[in-house]
Amino acid sequence: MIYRISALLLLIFSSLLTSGLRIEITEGIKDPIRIAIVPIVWNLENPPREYLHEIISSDLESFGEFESLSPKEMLSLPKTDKEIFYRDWKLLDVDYLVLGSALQGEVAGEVVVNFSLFNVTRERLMKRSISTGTTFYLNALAHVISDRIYNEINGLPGIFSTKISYINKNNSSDEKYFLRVADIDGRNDSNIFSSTEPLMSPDWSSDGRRLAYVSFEEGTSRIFIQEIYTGKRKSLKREKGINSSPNWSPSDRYLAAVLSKGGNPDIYRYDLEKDTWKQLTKHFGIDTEPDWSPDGKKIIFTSNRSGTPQIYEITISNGKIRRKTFEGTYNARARYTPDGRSFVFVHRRDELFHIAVQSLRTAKLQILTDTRLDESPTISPNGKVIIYATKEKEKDILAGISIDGQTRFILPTNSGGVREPNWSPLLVSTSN
Amino acid sequence: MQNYLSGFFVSFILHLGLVLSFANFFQIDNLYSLNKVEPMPAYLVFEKPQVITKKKNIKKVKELIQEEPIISPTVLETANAKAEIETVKVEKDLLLKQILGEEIKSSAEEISYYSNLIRDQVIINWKQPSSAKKGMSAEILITLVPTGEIVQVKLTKTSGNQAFDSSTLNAIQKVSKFEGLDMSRRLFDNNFRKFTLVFNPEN
Repeated sequence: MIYRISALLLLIFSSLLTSGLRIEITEGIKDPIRIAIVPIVWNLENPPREYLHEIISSDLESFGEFESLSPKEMLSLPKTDKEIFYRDWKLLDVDYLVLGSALQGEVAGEVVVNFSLFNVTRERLMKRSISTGTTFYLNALAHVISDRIYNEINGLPGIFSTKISYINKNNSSDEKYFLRVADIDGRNDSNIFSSTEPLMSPDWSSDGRRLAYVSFEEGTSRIFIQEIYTGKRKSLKREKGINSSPNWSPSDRYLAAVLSKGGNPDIYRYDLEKDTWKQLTKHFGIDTEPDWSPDGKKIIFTSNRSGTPQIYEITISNGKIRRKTFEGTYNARARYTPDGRSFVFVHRRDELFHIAVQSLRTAKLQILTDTRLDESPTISPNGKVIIYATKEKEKDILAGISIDGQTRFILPTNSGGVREPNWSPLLVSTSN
Repeated sequence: MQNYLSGFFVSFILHLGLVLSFANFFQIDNLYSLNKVEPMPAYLVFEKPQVITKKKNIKKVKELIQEEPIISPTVLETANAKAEIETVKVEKDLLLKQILGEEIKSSAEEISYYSNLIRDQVIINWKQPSSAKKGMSAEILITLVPTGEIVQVKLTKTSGNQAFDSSTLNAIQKVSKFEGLDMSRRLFDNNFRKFTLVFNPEN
């Protein structure tokens, strides 16, 4: 008994000792993280002209989270760990340092980059990694390295190896409509499909290998699925009336889409294994623009059943529908954020169309953009950035904004009208 | 044989008692320890040399007594001693108030003042990673020396996100020494020698 009491007393005493004073920190500074990418040492016979460190630096700076030091500002250019003088880098207010060297791979044209990431503040090595690529297209290799650095420092997948699909309308050529895919820095822009008739609503499959889109090549709308790397196409069973807005389920087994065979547009589900349609919503109003929730259990869509376009959510298992937006008279084109906790959509205020984000739990609405005719928001797979279509000087362009509304940028893309961007899932594993 | 054993037993007990008492097993010194007892004010009354001389020149004293019979030097002395005791009491109270009372009154204010000082120095050095979210929480136990220098950093609760934990450790490494902690030693020892920093992002 005495032992128990004394043990208890000891416990209380020790807990008193450890609790002590607690100081809570709820904010930090908004300054970007300072990173120095030392020019990669080339141990090749014919070093390429492109500079890896420049691509990595500009990748990391894209969304305002990082600020990189140019080699001109560096006090030394260390090649190995031993040549690092942390004091110099601290003087330059650098948080992280990257060293690397490139070697000839086993196959011709193959290049192997060894790089190390150092935490300058704590004077320690954080990560050593090897990335392999080709000299023909060094950007891809640089993007992979950027992704790994980003993931290591920020604890989130990097998105520099992801791609954007979009529709390009070009009035000067015979074939007016193009479905194109580009890197997120606008480079490596390539054509996937072109047509004299309209193309609409491209959507990436969850495995990142296929695109579903609407084509009017047969005179009326029809949904197609195209494999990006082989060009192989497949069409879904066509129904009478509108066939539009395809959206892949997280498992890639189903596509949600809009059909008007029942008299007015409703949300349907296409089973790719059975090639059958199943009706999900049935209302005399227009139901359109479906998006599958990340857990695959719900679909968010736009409906004018209340008189004005508003956002609704349906639970697929029981068909229950809940209205989600109540502010304003125009809310449309909702897309879930990857964590499934909120959605991004087009919101009209004072006759202007903005991109807004709303929490599903608290229903708090936040307008992100101050441009005027914003449409088709699409979210990066790490949930940090939104790209949307907007107009600048009467020209259709793609613009981006970080989800906290802090950083804005414009995507360099093909001339001519650029519309309906859709962000790919993560295409390269960034975990090692 | 029996006699031998009993003699041995008695001597063993005696020696054991001796050894234990030398080893301070009975903690005799604690009984008389000055540290354990609250200091008692000692009031020393110095008698005037006049009084001492009084014994030698009894006549003079007698004359004095005759001249002023009411006020005797001993009464004067006791009055002085009383006054002295009073003043010492007041001084002691004041001292006690300074040491305990007033510090207790203002220590909450002082703790919050120095806590804010520490908080500000952490904030300007903390760059949150993009993965930081409301609801994440990391705790770090800091050990300081009185100059404000951080001598030990220990992650006592992880947020579950390595990048987030790392960012908080970076912030503390950047601070390395808290400036402006010019507090009393007692306040430092009681609150700031070891304390916990809780990182709870709000956004």
